[in-house]
Amino acid sequence: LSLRARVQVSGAAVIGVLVGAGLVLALEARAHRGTAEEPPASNQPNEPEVSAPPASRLDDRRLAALEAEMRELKQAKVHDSELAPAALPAPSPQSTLEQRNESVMAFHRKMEGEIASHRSEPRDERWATAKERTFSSQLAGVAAKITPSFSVVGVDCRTYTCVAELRWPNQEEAHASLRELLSSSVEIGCARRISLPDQPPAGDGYRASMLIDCSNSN
Amino acid sequence: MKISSAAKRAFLAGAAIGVIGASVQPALAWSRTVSNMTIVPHNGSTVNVMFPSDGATSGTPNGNATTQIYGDYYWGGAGGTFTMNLQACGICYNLACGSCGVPTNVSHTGTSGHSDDPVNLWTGSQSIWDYFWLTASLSSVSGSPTVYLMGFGVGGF
Repeated sequence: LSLRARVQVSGAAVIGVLVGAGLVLALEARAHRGTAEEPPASNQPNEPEVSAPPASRLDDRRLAALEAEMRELKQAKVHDSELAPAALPAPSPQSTLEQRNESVMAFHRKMEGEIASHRSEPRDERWATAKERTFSSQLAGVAAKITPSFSVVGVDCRTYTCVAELRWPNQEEAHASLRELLSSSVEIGCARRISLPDQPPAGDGYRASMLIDCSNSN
Repeated sequence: MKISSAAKRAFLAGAAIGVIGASVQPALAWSRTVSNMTIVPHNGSTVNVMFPSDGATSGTPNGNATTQIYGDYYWGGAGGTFTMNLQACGICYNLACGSCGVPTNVSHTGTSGHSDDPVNLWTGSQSIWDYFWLTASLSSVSGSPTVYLMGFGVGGF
């Protein structure tokens, strides 16, 4: 190739790299902008649909809201300049607590669904019988070495999953033993999930189900 | 200006390289070695190693954004056989729920050696208020191996 042709080829290659990279970055930025502006999916199945206002009206409302917020911040700064180091609105402790509890409630609901799936799982008699015996013994061993302790009411196995019914004197002791129960039950060799929802006090103590999922175990 | 076919090919090749180069993601956005240098007891007692449960969902070390965990240990002493049990667990902030991934159980024989085993991920409630920890314990011990846990390597996005 002549010098001119070489320069042309090199230049084309460099431009190509820049164009390709720019295209990808532009597409990523566009996709990111699109997801960032999407409203979160609603979990309410019967929530009434609300039509979105036109963009200009939306912009006007946002602008008005921002101006109002600025005025409030200025006033707060004038009144509390000595006391408040930053006059920005703090997240509400109440809303934070609600979000925390919602995530726990979501876990409880998920566990209920998983236990319902377990109940409908067909029973592999040979596997289930062997695992019920093994897991009952292993959980009894865990109960003997951790404090607060618990008792094993029963273990029900099917084909890939088991549910162990455990009992504590009360809910507080169940909460107190949860971490050690999970740490010390490694010998089971399967994934374990447990939910300890609020329950009205019962005469025979506090009961909860541990799901033992062996579907991904060897 | 006339553009040669070689220049066109160079442009297309360059564009392809640019697309691939810009699309490749880094292997991990963050990683942390959580040190906990201790001898793992023979009696089945568990060594618990806490992992920081920072609030962010990506970009900084936190349980929900974790994609890889490795347990790092070595053994020496008089030798023997043992099974190392490693697992990763998550628990809700108010102790009302918790879970552990499938444990990793690896058997070893000999007077000395080193291992760095992958550990299945924890699954908490997926909320940013979960707490996470890792455990190491021994089972099926014979002889007198001394097993030193170094810690866990954790990484994610």
